[in-house]
Parts: sequence; C-alpha cells; structure tokens
Amino acid sequence: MTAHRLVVDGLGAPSRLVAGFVSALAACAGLPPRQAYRLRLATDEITTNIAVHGYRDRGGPVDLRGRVEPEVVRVCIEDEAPPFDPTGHDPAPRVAAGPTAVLGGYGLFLALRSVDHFAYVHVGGRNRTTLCVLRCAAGG
Amino acid sequence: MRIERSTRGTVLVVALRGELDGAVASEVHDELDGLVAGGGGGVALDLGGMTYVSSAGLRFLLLVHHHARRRGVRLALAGVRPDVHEVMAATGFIDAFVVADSVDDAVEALVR
Repeated sequence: MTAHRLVVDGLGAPSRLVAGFVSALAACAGLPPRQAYRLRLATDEITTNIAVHGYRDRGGPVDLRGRVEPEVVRVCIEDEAPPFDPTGHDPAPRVAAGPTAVLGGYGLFLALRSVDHFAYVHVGGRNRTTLCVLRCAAGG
Repeated sequence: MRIERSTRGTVLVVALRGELDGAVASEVHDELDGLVAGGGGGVALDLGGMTYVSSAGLRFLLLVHHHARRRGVRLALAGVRPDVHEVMAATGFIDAFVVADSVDDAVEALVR
C-alpha cells in the first residue's frame, strides 16, 4: 500500500496541484493512461467544485489522500465546506437539455461517471468523498 | 497550454497543445477568443495535441463556439484524442461542433 497526501487551500482552481498529485499516484500504481485520466478528471472536478461552490472562492482546507491497493487506486477528498453529497446530484435533466441550453454544471456528472466506485459521507463536520478506479481497466 | 496559429487557404488553423483545465481556460480565453474572432474564412481548432480537458475546459470551448457563431465564424474541431472525445461525447458537447478526424478534413468541411 502506498499513501500520498496533499493539502490545498481551496482558493481558485486547484487543477494544477491535483494533476501532479494524481499523476504521482497513477505512476506509483502503474495505472493505464485511460484509468489515470479518469481518476484525475474525477479528482479535479470534485476539488474544483469544493473550491468554487463549497467554499465559494473564499478558500478553505481540502485534504487529498491517495492509496494504492492491490485491486484499486483510491483518492479520499475531505473538506470543511457545508455538507454536500455529490451522489444526490441528478445529472439527467442537464444532460438531456444539452450543453447549448445549459452551459455549466457538468463537473459532478463527469466525476460520478469517471470512476469505478464513488462514495460520500459527512463525518466529524467534514465532507468525505472517496473515488476508486480499478488498476486494470474493465472493458478497456 | 500552447496556442499555435497557421493558415490553410482562407481557413485559420489554431492548434491547442497541452491541458485545458479550469486554471488554463481562464488564462487563454482572451487570446483564443481574439484569434477566432478574426477567422472570417472559418477556424479549424486542432485538438490533436490537447491531452486533457475538464468540464471547465469544455465550457470554455463552448463559449468560444458561441462567440464564433455570433460573429458568423464557422468553427470545426480536428483530431480530438480518444480520452478527450469521450468526455465531450458523454456531456453532449461534441454534438455542438463540426468534428473532423484531421486538420485537412476540418479545412475541407469549412470551405465546402
């Protein structure tokens, strides 16, 4: 098992830091490029959502922990923004309307569909989102 | 992200090289929007070198597309890589664009 940890301040778009964090984790796990892309995308979308909507661009701690396990690579994201469960986000109306009708709001949709397992819990006053991808891509 | 411009006849070819995430999108918006505005003969956006896109990047591309359309500029995407294509297809963004396999095909579609 390998562990990685990153703490960002939740100010602005954390995409660059997330890219480096997931890249190191993926290299450690030997993730195929497609799996690495999916994990990065989901982690990017969730942390960006926390920074922009959770903390409303005012900043706050976002704690990322990554772990390489025999079958999966796991990223756990914790923040202290108001409770928000991404799994309660129903993307169907937005996707059905199409991007020309509704310009934004696709981040959570992409995060939810990009990983092999997505979990959320509010514990100890923190949002905890867990993202997992299989180390061997199922079906490519 | 690196932006390279060239021309093929009357078509402006704008190549995006690198990663298009939330941080980059805000940095390159004005430059790309300005380039597209001047592409009266059509603009082929060469995405063959774009290795990553997030929802913020997609939103940025769609904004560029909207601005181009309002100015009467035709826009086509070329060489979209599989991972990026998958993200664009899942969100339906791909349907908003003319998409070609290569820059040559995009130019042909724009001058047709």
